[in-house]
Amino acid sequence: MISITNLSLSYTRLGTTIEILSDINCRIELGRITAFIGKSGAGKTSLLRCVAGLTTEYAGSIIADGVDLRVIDSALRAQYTGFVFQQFHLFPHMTVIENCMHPAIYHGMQKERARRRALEMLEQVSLVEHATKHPQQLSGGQQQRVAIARALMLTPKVLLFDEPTSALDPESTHMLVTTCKQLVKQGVTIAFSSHDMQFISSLKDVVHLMSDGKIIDRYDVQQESSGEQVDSFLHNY
Amino acid sequence: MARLHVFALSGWVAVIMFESVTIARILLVAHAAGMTVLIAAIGLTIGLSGGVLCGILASKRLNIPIARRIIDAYVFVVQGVPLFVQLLLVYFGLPFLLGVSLESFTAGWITVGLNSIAYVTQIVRGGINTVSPGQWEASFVLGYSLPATIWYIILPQVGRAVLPSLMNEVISLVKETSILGGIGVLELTKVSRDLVSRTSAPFTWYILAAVVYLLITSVLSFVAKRIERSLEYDFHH
Repeated sequence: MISITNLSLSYTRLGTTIEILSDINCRIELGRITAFIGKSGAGKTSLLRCVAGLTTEYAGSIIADGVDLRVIDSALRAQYTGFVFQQFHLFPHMTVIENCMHPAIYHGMQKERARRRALEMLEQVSLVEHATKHPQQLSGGQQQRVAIARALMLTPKVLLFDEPTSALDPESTHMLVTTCKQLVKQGVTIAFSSHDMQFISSLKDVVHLMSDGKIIDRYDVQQESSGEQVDSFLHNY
Repeated sequence: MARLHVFALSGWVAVIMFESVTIARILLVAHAAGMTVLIAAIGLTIGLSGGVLCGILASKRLNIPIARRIIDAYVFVVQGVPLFVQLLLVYFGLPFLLGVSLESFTAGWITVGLNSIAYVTQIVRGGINTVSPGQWEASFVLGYSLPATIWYIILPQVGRAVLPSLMNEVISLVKETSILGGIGVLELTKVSRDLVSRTSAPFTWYILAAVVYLLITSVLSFVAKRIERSLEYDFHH
């Protein structure tokens, strides 16, 4: 489980302080799907970037298994969080399978084992037949599934998705929902930011509604009387 | 009749051109060409290694202000002072400052190398700055260290992007070695000039020098195209 406690983030520009996140307290529970929803500028992406270690100038703490994620190095952090970017950011000079294998080999996995595991991961996201292609030869949805396979190679405890459907067509979005459900069944923990209501409804488990850098409501599928504002947001947005 | 005149004229030109050509002189030119290639190769090695290092240190992403200022000042000086003046400064100035004697050959490759560093720095820095920040971030979340990110992720992409500019620099470097004759280095232009003064056949020796320079640069262009093709990864659907 990842505990986020009293998390605040602000920037000072031209003498003015801009508050991005304000006193966030929440948890990303293992084996569940945690969503951070809200309008653009609500702070969803900033929160995920803090969890992934891409932003570290925050106040408060992000703790996973008793470990403060801010102070550990990037190699150790990769065991806790995987990140799938909105624009995927695959490495264009590597083939699909190299994109998956290279990080694992870098972290000490034997080459043949890394190849087998990469093929397993690509099988899971139905992309084995594209293994020797370069990312530029794939569609947006396929690139995203490669990014998921690449992130899973290092078996992170939590897989973070930033606005996962913003670059996808409806068919790819549907495939992503299926993939996410499959991953959760296999024990992968997922957290994502989104303002795509259809996608959120499909993966509704734990939902945090964000506005102006704060979490203003929480919906939990396991708690009956929760998330009035979330429900209203989902209906009205 | 007219054909006979043209034939006679061509024969006369051939005699004028080649009467001064002997095997010993051709060997002299070949040795000078070797010297040109050798100095260019040493200069290129210094230029590439120093330039890549300085380009990385001066890039926006690393954001090391002191390194950037020093490198900017170096580039400013080297690009603003004629190469011949740099050569004279190294040949006469370094022995004066360090109290050691410097052979013209050594002064030659030092100058060409130091000069090349400035230009390669600019090319590499520009290349690094054009790599999307997402590539650095993707590498970070996959647990790569900063040196590993630069080596495995950034430089391969930069190499492909800047190869044409680097090739121009290499070709310029080969041609710039022609000024080293000014301090007595027995490179191609200097030897050609010496042969002209001995044989009074400027056309012959300067044409030969031009052909040899063209041969060297053609081989370099050919090699560059092969490298470029091997790095090709821009595909279209």
